[in-house]
Amino acid sequence: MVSLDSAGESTEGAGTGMIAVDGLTKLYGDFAAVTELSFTVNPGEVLGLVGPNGAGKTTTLRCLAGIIPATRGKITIAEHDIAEDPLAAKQALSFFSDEPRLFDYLTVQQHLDFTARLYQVADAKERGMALLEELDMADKRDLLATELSRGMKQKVALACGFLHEPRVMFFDEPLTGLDPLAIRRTKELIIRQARDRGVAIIISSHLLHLLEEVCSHFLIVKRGRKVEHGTLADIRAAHEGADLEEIFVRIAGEDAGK
Amino acid sequence: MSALGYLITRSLANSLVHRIKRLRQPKYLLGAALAVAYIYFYFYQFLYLAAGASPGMKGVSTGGSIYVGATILFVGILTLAWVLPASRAAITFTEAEIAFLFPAPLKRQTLIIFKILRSQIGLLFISVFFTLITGRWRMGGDAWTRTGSWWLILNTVALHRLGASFALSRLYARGLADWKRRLFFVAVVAGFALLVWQAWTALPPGPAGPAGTFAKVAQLANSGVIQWVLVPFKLVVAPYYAHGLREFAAAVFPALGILLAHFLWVVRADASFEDAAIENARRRAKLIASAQKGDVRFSTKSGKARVPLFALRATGFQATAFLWKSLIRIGGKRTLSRWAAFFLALAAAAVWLNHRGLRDPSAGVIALVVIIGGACYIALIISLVMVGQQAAGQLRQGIAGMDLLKTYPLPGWQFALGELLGPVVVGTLIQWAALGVGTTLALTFIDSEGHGIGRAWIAIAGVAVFLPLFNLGTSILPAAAALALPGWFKPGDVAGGAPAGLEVVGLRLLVGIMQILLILLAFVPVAFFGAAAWFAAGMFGIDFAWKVAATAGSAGFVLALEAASGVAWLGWLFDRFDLSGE
Repeated sequence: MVSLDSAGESTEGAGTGMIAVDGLTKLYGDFAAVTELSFTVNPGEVLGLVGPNGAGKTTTLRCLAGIIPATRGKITIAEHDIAEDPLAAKQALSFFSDEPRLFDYLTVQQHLDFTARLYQVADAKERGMALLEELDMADKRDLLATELSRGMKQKVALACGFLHEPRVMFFDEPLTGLDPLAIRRTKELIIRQARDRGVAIIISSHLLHLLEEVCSHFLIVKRGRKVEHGTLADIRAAHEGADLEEIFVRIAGEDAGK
Repeated sequence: MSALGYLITRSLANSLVHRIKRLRQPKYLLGAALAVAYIYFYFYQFLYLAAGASPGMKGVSTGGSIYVGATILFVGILTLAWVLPASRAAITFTEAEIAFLFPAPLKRQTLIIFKILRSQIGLLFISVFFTLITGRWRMGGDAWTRTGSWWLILNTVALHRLGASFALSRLYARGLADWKRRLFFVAVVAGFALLVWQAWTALPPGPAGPAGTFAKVAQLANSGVIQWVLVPFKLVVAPYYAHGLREFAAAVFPALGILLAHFLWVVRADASFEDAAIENARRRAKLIASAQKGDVRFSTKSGKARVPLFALRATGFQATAFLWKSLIRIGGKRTLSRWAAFFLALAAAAVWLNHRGLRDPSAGVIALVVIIGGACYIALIISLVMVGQQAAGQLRQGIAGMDLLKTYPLPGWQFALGELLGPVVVGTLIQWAALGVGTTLALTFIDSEGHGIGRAWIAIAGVAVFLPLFNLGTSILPAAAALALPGWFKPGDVAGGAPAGLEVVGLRLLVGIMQILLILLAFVPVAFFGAAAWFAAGMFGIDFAWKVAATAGSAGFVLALEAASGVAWLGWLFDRFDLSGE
């Protein structure tokens, strides 16, 4: 697990964290996808969002990123209420979906130029070049999105997301479809963002071993409700020292046979 | 086969249930009600019942010219299957069908029969639709027999195209070059055309006029070798022209025999369609995926990187980023420069024709002036409808990538304005060019000594001011409809790639009517303030140019206010757009 100097203790409910969620509820008609979810992520913390399929992980992330409105509850991103002041909140965050969404008719560099204007990044040229160098994409800057492999597209999405130096990042299954080398690099990038820049990060993934390596805290959800929340050590202690996979199986399997 | 039957029936039932459930939302229920009313009153009452009352079409014998014309059309459609085949193997499967059915222990014939059965629902709908719209040309019989006849014709065409594609793919597999295939069929068509020509010239001259020509065509089709060549085609078309049930019963069995022969031909063809089907499905899925990402296209070919029309600075008005992106999508600097060069050349030609026409108004010059000038004005009129729709379409495509858009820190109105601006800017430039060239040519007919030319250009300049605002204004309602009713604008919503359903027809109809009303309504204050400025300027007795400037300025200001309100409204809709609500 990553050791984070700036990581404070995760708290229940809305606090002063970089991400503060208080009583988040999301209804689709009569169906509650997320119910009364409260947690805080402090600067430098990496929170692993874990749960079985249909637990409400993606819905939670989409609410936090302002993509869909919450039915009830309060979400604060970098001290900005996402419902009251969405533009300020969005200026501070980046959302990375499982499938990198690029414009087929723009080159890699044009994606960075477009993103820079949207986020008003004055020194985008230098930052963009540094990011492309870091991601081994400098020689691909004039290629169209359609000419890139999936891993390369993911890197472009990462470069665009990092360009405005967000203080909050959301990753929804960030490693799907990547080769082992790309997985390692992405993992290192995420860790560096938290460690070096104090970014508050939430990662939703089913790759539990990866989460154990990257995350300082975990939030296990099931049927839209919080089941466990805390550091891995806390959660393991509550489950007689079982590893994360075993804990996940126990929680997900509680309904089996019902 | 029972599993495939289950797949067909369950898919149909689930699709129907999904659409019926959607009717619980009042907006879709209203759309469905409107569509039913539209189909009933327009297609059934107006096109079918009222038109069928016309006695002129009844009593046409099977040797009649309309029947012969339909047969010849049918021959042409079937010939196209050989000259312009749909694809290597014209059988299409979805990616899910390929994933489940290709590895399954099913015979190739079973897969073909499955696709033929699956296509029946669509063909039945088209048959009913064709029955309604061709009511004007019906010869007798009732709706049931005509629908059945259409079903026979459409199935024969579909199976013939499939069989032709299988036959061609077998020939390709044996090394037949594409040019040899085309040469062969061109030779066959040319030979048949020669035969027809000889027979035509051998016929005695008939009465002049269209009626005489039709009668001669009918005579040709019912004589010599041609009548025997056309027999199988006539047999398929014959049920549609049957008078009454008895004639239909007599005509339908030969047609069914031909359909059965096609069925056996297709099912027994041992053509390898799997590779082509997988490739087709992959391309189709890619196009749908592109559309869902906001890039509607008709080819999966990857183009070259495009140079932006202008460099985008990292800071400034955020909506400009969307305009910059749109201009790249439209073609970038290279394509837009080519268009600019084309219009400059056209403008130069127009100036030359204008001078030439004024000095030497020969018939050739005048014809060119009329043709080019007319084409410019027609293009301008069409573009007045199209640009707004294109701009709204651009915004609709943007909405398809809403996940990403919603994370951007910009107000909704900037997104709306940015997405609409690309097509509006390009469309306006084209309109200005068409207006300029058209007017230059039109002025060929105005006396150069008078004041008409100067006044005409001043008036045209006034119109030119309106165009960008008009384009922006006409895009507002369709764009708003896409934001308010995304369920029927979502690309790739169904297997065919586009949203479908009765309510979709009705809702689009509703938006069309509302758009016309809104444009008319929006022009009331524009016209009022424009007219007020014109008369006020007239009272002060000022120069014509200043009168036009005052009119265009005040009317343009009102139109600009309306367009700005529309963009603000779109922004409001965007900000409140709830992805989870759809």
